[in-house]
Amino acid sequence: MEIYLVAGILGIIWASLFFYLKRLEARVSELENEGKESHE
Amino acid sequence: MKPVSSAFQWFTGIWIFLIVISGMLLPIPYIPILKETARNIYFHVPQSFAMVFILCFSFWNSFQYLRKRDLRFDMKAESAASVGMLFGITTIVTGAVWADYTWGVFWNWDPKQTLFLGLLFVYGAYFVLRLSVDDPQKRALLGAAYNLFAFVMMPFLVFILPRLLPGLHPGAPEDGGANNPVFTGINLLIRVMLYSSVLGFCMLAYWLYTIRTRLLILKSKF
Amino acid sequence: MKSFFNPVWILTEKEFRVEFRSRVAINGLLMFVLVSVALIAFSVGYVKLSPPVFFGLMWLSLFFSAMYGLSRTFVAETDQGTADFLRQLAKPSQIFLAKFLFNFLLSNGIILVLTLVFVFFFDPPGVNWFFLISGFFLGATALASCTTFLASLVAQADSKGALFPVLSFPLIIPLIMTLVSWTHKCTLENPGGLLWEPFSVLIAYIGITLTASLILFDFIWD
Repeated sequence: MEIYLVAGILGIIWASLFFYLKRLEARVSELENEGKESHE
Repeated sequence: MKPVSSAFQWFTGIWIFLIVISGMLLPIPYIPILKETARNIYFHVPQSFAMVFILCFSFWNSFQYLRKRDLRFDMKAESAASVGMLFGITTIVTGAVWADYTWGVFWNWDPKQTLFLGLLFVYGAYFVLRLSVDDPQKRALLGAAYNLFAFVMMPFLVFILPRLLPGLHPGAPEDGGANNPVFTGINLLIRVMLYSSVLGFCMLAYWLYTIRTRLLILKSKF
Repeated sequence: MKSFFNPVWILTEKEFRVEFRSRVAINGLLMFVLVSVALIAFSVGYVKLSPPVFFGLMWLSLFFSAMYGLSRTFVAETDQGTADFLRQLAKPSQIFLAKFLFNFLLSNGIILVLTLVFVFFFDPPGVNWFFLISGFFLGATALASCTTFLASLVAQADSKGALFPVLSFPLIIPLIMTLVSWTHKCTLENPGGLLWEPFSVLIAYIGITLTASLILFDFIWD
């Protein structure tokens, strides 16, 4: 039974890490675009 | 540096999610010392593979830097090395926890464990070397030279010596499957799961590497 | 071939002349060896040391003395600004080989003095001295071949500090482990056949470090 709990916790940890990475990715893209605009 | 596509990101995310869930819930053969901790093989081993995978990028970019003297290659090499460090640390931590449950203590001074720590020291030294040089071109040159020199020594740390010195990891001499029998009777399910997990963690490492490189390039502009 | 190696001999002789002219370096090194052995004698001299402890302490003091001695490899060039003259006189590979040869003789000298002092101060365990001394010789060669290139990197860094030991220690961990297993086998009855494995590792180590250094030194020395 505990194994379901462990699987659930690990799944949630990975999912939150994944969405954090998605946000980081978006933020970096945003900064890159800003840089391009100010360069022009 | 080209960012990875959104499809790649989602694929990586869902792939590792499936690995985590199925790694925990699929049946695993009963192995005397390991028992249920054998599931850690889907996390501990692939992370070390991902580390070597991303360090190959670091090596390649350092090589490119020496040929072309373009600072962008140096940034790529640095970010790949830092992602490699990250995966190295997670490998050590997952390994130490596993060792606590199976071999009794967190740190056994098993050759593979010790030499892997040595490998982390190598890349730690790489960052210390980079910090101690002020001029960017010179920093890149010295860093690239040390990186290449260290990379050709990696076989000693990771592949040759662990197989010559007696130890607890699978593959050590005089082992005969007594300490860690997971690889002796490895079945198809474990094999497929292991390779899928290696793929997932390598993709994750590559994704992190692109993010880190783009951040470094942004930093160098401002 | 003769014309390639001629500058190498001349430069090696120059190294010796520079070192012995100032005397402070050589005498400092000698004192360092004596002090480190005396320190060990004061702390554990009253017990009969078992072979692993005896050789462990011996390798330890050797590596620290060598770190001190070998880190000075390119110091004269950077301190006195004579690097440009050297560039005029010889090719990078010749300069590297001369430095390597000097370090090779220096580390063998350190090991000779250290062995004599150790045998004098402590009661050495019964070993096969022929194999032990050939192991020392190989170890000193490997040490010189690994650290000569690293010293050239450190000489160009801005803040040197503890950089040299930080860069070299992780790369000589495999060397230490191989040498410890070598000396351990020397205490056995008939070590000849058992030494084949560490011997091939040491030869491969020397070969790889020398080749990599010779290739990379061209890039560093511009």
